[in-house]
Formats: sequence, structure tokens, C-alpha cells
Amino acid sequence: MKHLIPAVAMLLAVTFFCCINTVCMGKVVDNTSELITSALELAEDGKWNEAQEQCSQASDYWTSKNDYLGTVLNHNISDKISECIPSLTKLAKWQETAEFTALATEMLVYLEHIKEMERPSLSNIL
Amino acid sequence: MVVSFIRTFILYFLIIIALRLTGKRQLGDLEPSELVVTIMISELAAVPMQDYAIPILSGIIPILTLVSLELIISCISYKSVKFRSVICGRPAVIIKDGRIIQSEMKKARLTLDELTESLRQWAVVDIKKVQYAILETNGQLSVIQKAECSPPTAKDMSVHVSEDPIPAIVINDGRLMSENLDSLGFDRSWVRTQLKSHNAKSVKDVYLLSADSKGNILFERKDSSK
Repeated sequence: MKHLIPAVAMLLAVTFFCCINTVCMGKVVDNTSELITSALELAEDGKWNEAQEQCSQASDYWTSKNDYLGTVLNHNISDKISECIPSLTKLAKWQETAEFTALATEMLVYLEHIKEMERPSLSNIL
Repeated sequence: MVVSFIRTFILYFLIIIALRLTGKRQLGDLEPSELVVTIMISELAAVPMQDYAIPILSGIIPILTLVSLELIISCISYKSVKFRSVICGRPAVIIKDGRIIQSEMKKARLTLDELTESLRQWAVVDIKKVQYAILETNGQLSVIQKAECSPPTAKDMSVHVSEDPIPAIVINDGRLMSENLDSLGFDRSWVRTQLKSHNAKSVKDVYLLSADSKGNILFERKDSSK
């Protein structure tokens, strides 16, 4: 019994931490996706200044979560987003419609993939 | 490089704590599940040590999970015999009264070569001299020879021998072990007497002083103090 209770407590704590992480990761990804989607819509409407502003916000937001992301996500994955968002901002600044749309769409798919990776689905487990 | 150093530092102590929590047994005495967990813990720790891109939590979380599960399983095994037999299996009697039980050999997938090899490690070459040979749950073979083939004991020969008490280390590499001193029923004045009788100036000059409750002493000075 001496070891059973701490062992169960440790297992529950780890489970709880993993569940919280899934939720938090989802929130970070959703917020970032929302900003990029908003930038994409603004770019499609020709509002490039606002689109650039949204991309900057997305970049600032992602950077502000770097400490958390570095702890729980493979650094290659988080670095890819960190590199792509400034590129997106530049494309918005230069009003490169086709490349901006392509990169934004690619990032949205990648962010969705990050969120999906953390989900305890059957395909992920197997 | 610094990252690698710090990660190794953290994971090393985590492994020590994890293995300490999972219990005191030598590698050869571990149950198969315990051996697997021990190997897995070391493999899991090695991954974030080598690859900086992988977060350290990717090693820590699985290690903590394995340790928790191992502790829970071992606690339940301790309480429940049925559960223990499911997890660890049961010992199997391979040789009884000098005869090999072939059905158990087949069940355990133990070959004759493996059996004779294990018997030789027990210094047994004649199966007829074995009363019981039991294949334990950790895969080791325990051999009990027939009484007529076993070395006689003092009791068999009606020889009276006194029990040897276990000696305790009183001074360990220049450090006085107060707890052991108290357990022997001695005090510091006894230590001073021993130091004086062996021409040692202080505790720091002594490499080893052990004693038992009968007063048998083993004294070794440090080479540097000679």
C-alpha cells in the first residue's frame, strides 16, 4: 500500500497532464489557425494591410507560446511554423496573392495535422 | 552540447529514481516484465538525450507511466496470488526424485541441453542425484539435491557450532557510522580505545573498522596514514 497510492497518484497526474496538454495544444493551434484564416480572407478581399497585421499577430502569438510548444512539441514541427509565419507576413506585404494563398493553405493544413497528432485516436495509437 | 549535457543530467537522475522506485533486485532475478520495463526505461531516456528536437517530456512521460504501472502491478501481485500467477506465471517442477518431467519440459520449451547446462552450473552432473529441479518464474533453475547426495551439515554430524553474528561497519573510509556503533551496543569511548590500540590518531586515519557483537574486530588503516 505504501507504494500503491503514490503510483496511482503519479499515473493519474500523468494522465491529467496529457489530457490538459491535448486541450491546450488544440487551443494554441485553433487560435493560430483563426488568425491565418482571417488573414487569408482579408487577402482574398484585397485588404493586404489588414492581412499583414493578422499575420504579425499570428507570429507574435506563436512566438509567445514558444516556451510551452518547445516543451511538448517536436522542435522541428514548431520551428517550421515559426519560419513560415514571417514568410507569410512578407508575402502579404508584397501582395503576392498566389504564393500567399498557397503558403497560408499549407500552414492551415499543417496546423490541423499538429492538432490531430495530439488526439488520442485509434489511427494515432496504432 | 550544453543542452545534451543538461538533458543527460536530468534523465540520469530520473532513471536512478525510477529504478529505485521499482525495487531492489539484481538484474538476473527480475521477472520478465520487470526486465522489459527496466530496458524500456533506459531506451526511452536515451532518445531525448540524443535528439534535441524531441522534447524531454517525450522521455519523462513514458518513464513515469511505466514506473507507475510497474508499481501498481507489483502491489497487486503482492496482494493477489491469482494475479501474480497471471503476470509472472508459476514455478514448474522439471525434475522430481531424479526423474525428468517431460510434460513440464515441453510446456516450458526447455531443451535437455539447457537443463543439463543449468544443472552443471549447480555442480550437478547426475540427474539421479536431484530431488527437485524447479524452473522459477524468472527463468532460473533451482536445484535441490537428494539428502544423501548433499554435503552434511553440522547438525547431521552432531557438531555444535555457535552462530556467527553479522559484523557491522563502525568506521567507513574515515567516517564514523554512529547508527552501527549504537546497534552493536558500543560507544565512542570504545572507538577511542580501538584507535589507541591500533595506533591510529583519529577516525579519519581509519579505512575500515568493523566489529560484531562478540567483539571480533577488523581494522584497516588508510594507506595515506601509514
